[in-house]
Amino acid sequence: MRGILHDTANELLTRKLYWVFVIITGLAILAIMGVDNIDLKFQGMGDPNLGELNEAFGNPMLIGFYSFLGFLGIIAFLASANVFPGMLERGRAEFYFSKPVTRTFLYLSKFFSIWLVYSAVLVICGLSVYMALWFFHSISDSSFLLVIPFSSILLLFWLALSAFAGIWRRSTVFAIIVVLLVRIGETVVSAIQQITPLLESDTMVKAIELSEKIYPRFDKSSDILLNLATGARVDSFLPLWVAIIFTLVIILLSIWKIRRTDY
Amino acid sequence: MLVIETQDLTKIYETGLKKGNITALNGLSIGIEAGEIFGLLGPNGAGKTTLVKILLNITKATSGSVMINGLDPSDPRSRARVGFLPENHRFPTHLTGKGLLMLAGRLHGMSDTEIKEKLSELLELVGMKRWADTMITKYSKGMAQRIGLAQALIADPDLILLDEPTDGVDPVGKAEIKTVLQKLRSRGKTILLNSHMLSEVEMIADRVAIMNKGKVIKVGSVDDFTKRAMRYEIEAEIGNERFTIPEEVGKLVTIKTNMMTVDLTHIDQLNTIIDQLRTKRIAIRSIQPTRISLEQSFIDTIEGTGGTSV
Ligand SMILES: Nc1ncnc2c1ncn2[C@@H]1O[C@H](COP(=O)(O)OP(=O)(O)OP(=O)(O)O)[C@@H](O)[C@H]1O
Ligand SMILES: [Mg+2]
Repeated sequence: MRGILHDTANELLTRKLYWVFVIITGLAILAIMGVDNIDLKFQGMGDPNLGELNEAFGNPMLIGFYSFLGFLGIIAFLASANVFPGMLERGRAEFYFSKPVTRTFLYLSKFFSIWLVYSAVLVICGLSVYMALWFFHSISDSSFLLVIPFSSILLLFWLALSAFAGIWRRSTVFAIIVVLLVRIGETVVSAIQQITPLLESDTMVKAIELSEKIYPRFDKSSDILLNLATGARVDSFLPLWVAIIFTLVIILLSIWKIRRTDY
Repeated sequence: MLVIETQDLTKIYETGLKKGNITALNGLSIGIEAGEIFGLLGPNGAGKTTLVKILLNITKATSGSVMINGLDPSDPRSRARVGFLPENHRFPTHLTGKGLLMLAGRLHGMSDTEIKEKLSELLELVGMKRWADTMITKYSKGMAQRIGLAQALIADPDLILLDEPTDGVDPVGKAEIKTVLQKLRSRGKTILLNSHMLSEVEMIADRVAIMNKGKVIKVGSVDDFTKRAMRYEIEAEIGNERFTIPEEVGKLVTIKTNMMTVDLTHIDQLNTIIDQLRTKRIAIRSIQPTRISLEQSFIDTIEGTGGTSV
C-alpha cells in the first residue's frame, strides 16, 4: 500500500496539476480579501436558482465554499482519469502484475491512493480558504469544516465510476465520457421528475420511483450532505444510500474486471 | 528440482474477429531446472511471451497445468522470488530510474532501507549510476533496458525471466548484460531467457528449447543443437590417396589432400575409419566433431516443421 500510495502521489503531483489547485485556491482567497462585507443574513428563498432548496442553502457563503470544493473535485477527477488506463497499458501492466501482489490489492491501493491524495488536496485548499474567511471576515462556522470531508465522499463516488470505466476500456477518454454521461443522466432524470406530476401517467410515476432506487443521484447526495453539515432537515436519505450502494457495486465490478482480463 | 513446469499448456486468445481465435500455445510441456540458464527460441509469434505471461499470471492459460516455484501462478507468493523484464516495456513515465527501482522494491514488500542497500549495487551492475536520477522518459532504448534489468533484480530473485533483454542494447551493453547473466548463474540463479539473439543464447544458455506455433519442437543442451550428430572432420595427410568408405560405416562428405569430412552411421565406426587410414599409413593429425551455429540449427529445425507461424 505504501509503495502504491507513494507512487500515485508521485504520479499525480509530477503532472504539475497541483499548480491548478494552488492557483484556484489563491484566486478564491483573493476574492475573499476583495469583498468588503459579506451579508450573512441574505436569504436565498427569493432567488429562482435557490428557491427549490432547503433553508440550509440560505448561506450563500457556505454554498460558494461547497461549490468551490466540488470544482476542485471535478479537476481531481479529470486529472486522475488516466491513472488506470495508464497503469493497464501494454508493457506497464506487466510491470505491476509481475510483482508478488494480487490485482485486487493493486486496484484497491491505487484507487484509494488517488482518493487520499485528492482528499488531502481538498483539506489543504478547503482549510486555506476557510482560514481566509475567518481572518478577513471573522466567519467561524463548523458547517464549513464538515463539508470538506463530505466533498471528499462525493469525490469517492466519482473516482470509483471513472476508475471503473478506465479499467473496463483502458481509455481515458472513455472514462471521462462515462462520468459525463452519468452526470447528464442525473439532470435528465431530475428534469423528468419535475414534469412527471403534470403528465398524470402511472407508468411514468412508477418509472421515476424505480429510477430513484437504482440510478445514482450524486447531485441529490450532495444536497443531503450539505443539509447534514448545516443541521438542516433531510427528507429522505434514499439517494445517498443508492449512491453508496452503486459505488460499492462498481468497486466490486472493477475488481472482477481487472482480475479476469488478460493483459 | 523443477522451478518451472508446464503440462499440455494451451492458450487461445479470443480475438472476436472473423479471422477466428489465435492459438498462442498449443499443448506446451516444458520443465526448467533450478540453477540453469534456459534459452527459449522461436520465430515471431511462436508463443514465447505468452508462456512467460502465463507463468506470471498476467495472462491466464486456457487449459493445461503450470507451476512456478511449486505454486500455481494465481498465488502471488509464487512471484515473491521472481524478477521479470517484460518485452517492449513501458515503465511508469513519472518515475526516474531510481524511482522505478524503489517502486519495484516496495511492491516486493521490501523496506526502504533494504532497497537503498541494494540500489547502488544494482545501478553499478547495469551501468546506470549516472542516470539514476533522470526521468525514464528521457532514457534511450538501451538505457531503459538496463534499468529494466535492474528492477527485475531488486528483490534478489532466484528465478529471473527475461524477455528479449538485449533488445535495443548496443554491443558493449550486450556484452555487459551477458556478463551480468553469467554472474547471476554463478550465484545459482535460474534464468529463462527469451531471445532472438541466437549467438548470445549459444554462449550463455545451458539448455535451449525451440518453440514454433505454440509448441516446443526441440529441447536440449546447446551442444545437442550445435553438434552435427555424427559428422567428423578428420585432418590427415591424405595426399592423392584414393579413399572410400563402405555404406555401413558412413558417408564421405568431402575429401581434400589434408582433410576429410565424414558422416558416420554410428560413433563406433569412427574407429573403422581410423583403422583404414592407419592401414594405408596415412598420418592422422586431428579428429573433431563438427559444429554448426545455433542459428543454423534453429533455421533447420523451424524449416523442418514447416516454416514460421506468422
Ligand atoms: N493479447 C493478445 N490478444 C490476441 N492475440 C495475442 C495477444 N498476445 C499475443 N497474441 C498472439 O499470440 C501469438 C503468440 O504471441 P507471443 O507474443 O507469445 O509470441 P512471441 O514468441 O513472444 O513472439 P516475438 O518473438 O515476436 O516476441 C501471436 O500470434 C500473437 O499474435
Ligand atoms: Mg515475444
